[in-house]
Amino acid sequence: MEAIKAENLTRSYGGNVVVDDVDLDVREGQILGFVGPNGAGKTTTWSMLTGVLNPTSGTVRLLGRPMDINDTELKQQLGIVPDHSVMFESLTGEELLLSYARIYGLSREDAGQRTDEALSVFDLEDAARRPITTYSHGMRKKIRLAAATLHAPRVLFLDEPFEGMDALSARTVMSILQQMAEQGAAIFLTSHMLDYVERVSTHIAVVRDGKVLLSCSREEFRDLPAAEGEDGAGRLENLILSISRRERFSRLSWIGNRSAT
Amino acid sequence: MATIGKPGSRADLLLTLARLALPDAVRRSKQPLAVAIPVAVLFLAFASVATLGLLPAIFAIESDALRRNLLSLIACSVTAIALLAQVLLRVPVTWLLDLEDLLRLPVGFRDLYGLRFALSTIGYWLPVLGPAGVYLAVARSGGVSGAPITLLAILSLVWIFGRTAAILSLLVNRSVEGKLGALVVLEQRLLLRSYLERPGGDRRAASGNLPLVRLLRKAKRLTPAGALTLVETESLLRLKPARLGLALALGTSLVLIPTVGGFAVGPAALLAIFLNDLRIGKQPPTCHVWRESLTLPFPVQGTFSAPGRAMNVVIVFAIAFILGLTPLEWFGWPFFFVAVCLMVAGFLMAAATYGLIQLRWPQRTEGFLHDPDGARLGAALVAAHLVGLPGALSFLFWALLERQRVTMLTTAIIAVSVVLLAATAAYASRRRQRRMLAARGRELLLKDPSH
Repeated sequence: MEAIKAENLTRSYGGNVVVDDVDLDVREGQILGFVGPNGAGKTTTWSMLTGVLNPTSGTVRLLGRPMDINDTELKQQLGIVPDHSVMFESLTGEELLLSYARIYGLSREDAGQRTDEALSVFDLEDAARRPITTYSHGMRKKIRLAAATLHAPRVLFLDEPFEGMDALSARTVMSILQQMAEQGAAIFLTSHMLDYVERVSTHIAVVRDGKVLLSCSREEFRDLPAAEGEDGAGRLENLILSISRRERFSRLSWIGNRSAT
Repeated sequence: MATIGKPGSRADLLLTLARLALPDAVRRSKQPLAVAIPVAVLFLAFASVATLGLLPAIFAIESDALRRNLLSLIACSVTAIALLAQVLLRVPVTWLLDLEDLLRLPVGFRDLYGLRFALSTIGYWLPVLGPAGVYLAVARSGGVSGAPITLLAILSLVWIFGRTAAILSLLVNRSVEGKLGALVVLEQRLLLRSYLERPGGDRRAASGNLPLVRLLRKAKRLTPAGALTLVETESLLRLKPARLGLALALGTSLVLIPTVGGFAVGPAALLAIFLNDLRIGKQPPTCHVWRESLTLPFPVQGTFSAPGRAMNVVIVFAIAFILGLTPLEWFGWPFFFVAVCLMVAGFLMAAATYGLIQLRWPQRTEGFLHDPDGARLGAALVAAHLVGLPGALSFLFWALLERQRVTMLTTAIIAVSVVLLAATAAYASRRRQRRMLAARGRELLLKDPSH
């Protein structure tokens, strides 16, 4: 079943088209890695898919229903992890998870059980009773991810989920995402951590200047000749480099030239 | 965490969010609970004493002047004390909720905003003025039956003062465009859109001051005028000058309105219409008429939800309603019938005229200063207030009826005829609009600068 379906998705600001006629189709059990250079339109697309931003034109359907910010039934089935802060930072991690569980309609028993389990899996047990204000960036990401997955969403949106995470935490997150996909969840993630994206995604879409340049399965992607790695870079990283506008690596004139200072 | 209501129910959801908001508000205000709670309790105790003890004693005073002066003194003192306490203790009046994040949760925009507004109004002045206000309203209205009218009048005045305060506060902050981009709404609604849709920029910083701005257009049922109302509400709740205006308005209207009764409603409503015009920088019914025109024929409720038009229509009908019910000046059923007929006719005519004006001169949406053709603007301006004209006519009929210059039958026939004529005109106008849209609607829409 099509879990995320975007057709002719376009977003412009004045005359500046940021997302240009994008089509997306993520089915249940798939993880779509949505990647591209800075300013490519990833977050704008992500925002439109999650209903926070209205498209200038085009449609978004989630689980067969049009995305509507007021459709609470639909939103009950979504999990969303934004790039920025955790809300209610004065709460402890445990309080936040319990509250989220309530908001998503879990019983008290389920809420307690899942909270304990999530804190354990995300290695946040020791910080469970500390206010989130004291958390590091990576810990905030993890508590946000834990909160978004407590209710076993059918569609999960993640914006830069690996940012600030150590290798072990990132591996844990990838494992959880794969487990969710195996259980039928559809996952849409944007990230600059291309190695992780390449490892966890079942499908990859590359975007530049608001347009989707490439959309294929991981297997198809690996067969692409253009994706051959160079200088130790991953295949996906190499592809992103190759499509970036900048043709060469820039240099700072004063680096390596001490006499200039 | 205590369980209230069925898990996942709307009540449970809102209560959970409200509980979440409390520590957040305390954290942001940097106000320890140990101080905030005793202050709240003190105010509540004061309010109770005032309501249960002092006010009845004051109302027992036979001298009108002394009673009125004492009430004024109390209302103003209480307001001043509440404001002073807020300033000295830095007590939060507005409890902030980051609506953008909350919107991602399974809760609708309206529920969220309602919750946010409810939390925001739980300032410490509310326990003080709330019970006292109700008591005043009931006692000065000559009993419970008259209280609704007085309360309506109070609300209308408070609303007007509140809106004025909001607009002034927006104007005062005009220079801080980055902080409060919504103020440009007063000049052109289009600028609001440009602010909201500006790519990049420090939107987080802006949202720190007015997070709602980022969300105004996210709720798909929110009209531009509705969005503007929310901006104003936000500024009212957040900015001290605006809150000051609101509190003073509430305090004084508690005293003034019961004194002048329903007579205050008329001028208040006229002022409301003026403010409604001012706030969107143009004559209201023209806002986004295109949208409604393109969805012709729109349902009846669409008439009232049409951006810009809704508020004035509601105000006019509220006047009719209040005048109809007011025990102070009941003009009798004949007048009421005539007034309603004529107002309906006025509404129909204004709607029909505006539809045509908007179709023929869509550039009018750019507003007064941008309209090169004064004659067209004048025509539109007159049409905007056609809806109020029948109100005056109905008074004329009433006067004639009272002086027995016309019979009731004649008056009724005239009123019904006017309604029928207006309905015919409105129907013809709609047909004309529909034809015009069918012929070159797309072309006109593309020319419309508001889209």
